Amino acid sequence: MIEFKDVRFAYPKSGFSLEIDQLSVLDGQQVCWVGPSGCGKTTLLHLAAGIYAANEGAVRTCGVELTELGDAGRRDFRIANLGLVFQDFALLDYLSVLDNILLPYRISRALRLDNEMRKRSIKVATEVGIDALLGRTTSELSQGERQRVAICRAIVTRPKILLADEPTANLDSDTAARVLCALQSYAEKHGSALVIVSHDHDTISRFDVKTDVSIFRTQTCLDAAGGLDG
Amino acid sequence: MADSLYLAWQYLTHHRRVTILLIAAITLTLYLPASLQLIVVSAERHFRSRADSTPLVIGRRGSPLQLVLQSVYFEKPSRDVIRFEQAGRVEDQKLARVIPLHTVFTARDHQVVGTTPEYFHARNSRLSVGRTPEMLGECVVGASVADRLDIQLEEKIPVATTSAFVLANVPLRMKVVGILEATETPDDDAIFTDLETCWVIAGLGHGHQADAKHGSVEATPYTDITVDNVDRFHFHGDRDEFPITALLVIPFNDKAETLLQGQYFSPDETVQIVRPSEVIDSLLAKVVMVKSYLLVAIALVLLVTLIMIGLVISLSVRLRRSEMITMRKMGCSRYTIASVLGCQMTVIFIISATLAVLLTFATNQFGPNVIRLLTT
Repeated sequence: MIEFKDVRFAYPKSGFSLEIDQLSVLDGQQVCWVGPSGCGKTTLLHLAAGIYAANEGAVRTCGVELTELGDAGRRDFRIANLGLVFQDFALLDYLSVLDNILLPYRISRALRLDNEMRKRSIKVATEVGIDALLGRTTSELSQGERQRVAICRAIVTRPKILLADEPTANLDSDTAARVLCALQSYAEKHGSALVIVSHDHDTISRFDVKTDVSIFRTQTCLDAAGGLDG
Repeated sequence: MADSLYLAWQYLTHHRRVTILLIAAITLTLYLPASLQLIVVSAERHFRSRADSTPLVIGRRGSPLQLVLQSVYFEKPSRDVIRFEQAGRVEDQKLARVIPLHTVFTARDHQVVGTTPEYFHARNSRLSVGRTPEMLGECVVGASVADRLDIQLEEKIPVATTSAFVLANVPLRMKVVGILEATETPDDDAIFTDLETCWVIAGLGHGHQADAKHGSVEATPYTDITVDNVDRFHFHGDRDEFPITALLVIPFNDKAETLLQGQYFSPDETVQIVRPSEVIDSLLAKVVMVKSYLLVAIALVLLVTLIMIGLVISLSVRLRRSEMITMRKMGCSRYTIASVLGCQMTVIFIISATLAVLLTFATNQFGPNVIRLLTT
């Protein structure tokens, strides 16, 4: 499902780089990419999603060679095949919960918004227990509710791969457990791969397959103040 | 595009205060210069039309502008008089029609204009009610005077003057016999009577008991001119020497106009002849200059406003940087993000432009009346 081969990536100014000779995530596999802050977990996730393009090597996701696609091609691929959950939820405060869930359909010409998609978004919201909040703005929600909205937004397009960047970082343990449960149950139900980036022990313990990302770094691991994004 | 518009609209309605502030700023930015231009052009046209409809004016030598303002626009009472014989001087040459004016007195803060019935023909004045003055002591009032003073027919208006015809400190009271239709000209704010009535007010004529000797108790003048006593009014002295303040002159043709103008060039001449349209043109040239200064001042304010708007938009985009990064990560193109921001600005500009057009239209429709109400 995701395959890195002889991949080299470096940020232009910071000097931080990753070298991944071989890394795979299989179909339907649930994987946790672990490692200390600043070791490149988010960077690796962005490479897998095609947000960053590798300097060398091949990144194949869902059978598509991302390194061969241009910026527009990677965007269309991403929104059609991947579900992304961000650490800070990244919801738009001026939109209602329903509009946040439907956002992928409004920002890409690769997806088409119709009544079926609207029904699907309501169904997804019902499945994660936020159907009563659809008309509210996100600023009225609790942290847990906001994260569930972010998950709904990631899965409403029925992605083949779910990529979640520290999805439980700002949540209490109960809410974190519920969020992980929602992600894992979606992946199991639809046979999707699930990749979660985390350094939280409770989260890590819920996954059988773990990959230590720090082995891919080629320079000293910098802290967040050093300007690294992962 | 529909989705971009939807997202833009959601953003604008969610951030109502900022949106309203931006719309207000842009509306004013568009409205102020447009309305100023409109008001000035409208005022110029209105002002000029009065001057254009008055070919020539004869009055005492002095400021041409003052003569035009007092005799054409009834700006304020005149103190500069000429002799009535000046009317005969023009008429005798058969070059023009002349309309004498006497604009020395006021009544209840409105200009009293002593003239002849010819004036109403020349100005195409029409009565909304009543009739034109037929007898000494009668007057017609302009539409605004009637409104402002709530005057009805047959009411009497006392003339404000200390040097006038008075008895026991009671001034002459003119009887209102007609009200003119509104014309949106200075005529609306004036009270018209005949020339002789003004001369009576000036003390050049009076009425008293028959056969009474001047200076006796029986010769005490009447304060009202009525049907019963009008025949006892009489004037003392030579009419040609009686005062008028100006003559409106309507030449029969261009040649007559040129001939008339040429007669008043002599430095010994005590009267002058002016063409109101030329005088007003030179005045409006100064107004245009003032308007230009005003437009420059407004342009500077607008520049600052535009910079502020730019700053607000720039800050807004900066504040939304993380949102844009998220959208990019999800798969949104730069074009779509630009399209959302563009839709936002387009919606703001369309609403602002619509409001500015509506306000300008309202200013055009009601502005002159509002300004008149504020300045009177």
